[in-house]
Amino acid sequence: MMAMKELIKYIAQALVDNPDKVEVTEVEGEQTSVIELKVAKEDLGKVIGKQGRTARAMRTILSAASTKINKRAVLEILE
Amino acid sequence: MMHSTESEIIVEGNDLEDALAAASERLGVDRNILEYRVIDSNISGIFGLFKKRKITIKAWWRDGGHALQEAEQFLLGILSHMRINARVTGKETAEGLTLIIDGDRDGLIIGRRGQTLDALQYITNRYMQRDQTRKTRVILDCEGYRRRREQTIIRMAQNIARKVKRTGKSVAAQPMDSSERRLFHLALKTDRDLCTESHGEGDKRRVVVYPVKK
Repeated sequence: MMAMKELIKYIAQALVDNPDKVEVTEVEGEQTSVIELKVAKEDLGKVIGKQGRTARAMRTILSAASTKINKRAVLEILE
Repeated sequence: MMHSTESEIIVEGNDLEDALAAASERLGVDRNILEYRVIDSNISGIFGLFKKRKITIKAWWRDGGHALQEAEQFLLGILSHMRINARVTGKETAEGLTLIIDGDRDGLIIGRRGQTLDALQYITNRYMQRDQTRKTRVILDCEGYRRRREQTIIRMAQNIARKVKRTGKSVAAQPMDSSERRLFHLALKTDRDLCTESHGEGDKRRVVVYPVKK
């Protein structure tokens, strides 16, 4: 599941102004993994986006990637 | 191969020098690499009194293909993190940069009703427009999906049009994004027995087709 974490980190770091403040942790469950994303406060808007579109796009990409390994992954953005 | 991408802004100034200085500041680039076109210049005032000059220009800078390469690299990075083997071919079109993905898992890249492809496209655009002076628009395609989808939308519009005419009642199409709604409106634009409007918010926004009463 390392790959899922790296995928989110890669995207988030590309979108924010403070890539060094991006932290991604993974809470692994039996069937579902929770990917927790934390960014600098001023970058929150960049990973959430207008009407949550950026967050939704990241979730869509994450679920496509996790289909390949037959395990569900959900993205949570921590505030 | 050299590519160039424009990111343009419209600025006003008292004269050309003034406008170019403003453009270079707003775009954050040296004015030597700026290109521009005069949109409007006028001299206002009565009989030359209170003469005030004003000029409006459109300015942009050419970045020699940097943007295209950057977009390709970014997208390849996502795909490789998704463990997808793919090739990305980029080209410049009238609408912006078009990146064509050719991979081993095209179904996965496209997703249900194109939602994965749309998500990848959205993220790539956010990345390319992360500093607000750049307006580079990126379109992603895979296996000719966009064209097929275009044809599907036009067919859908025609089917709904027939239904509206048969029943005399309005019919709502499924929710679509703005570029798809645009295609839908265009497909029925010349039909004088119908009119189309978009209703709803965000990802629930959809086109409704109404009969025109005579």
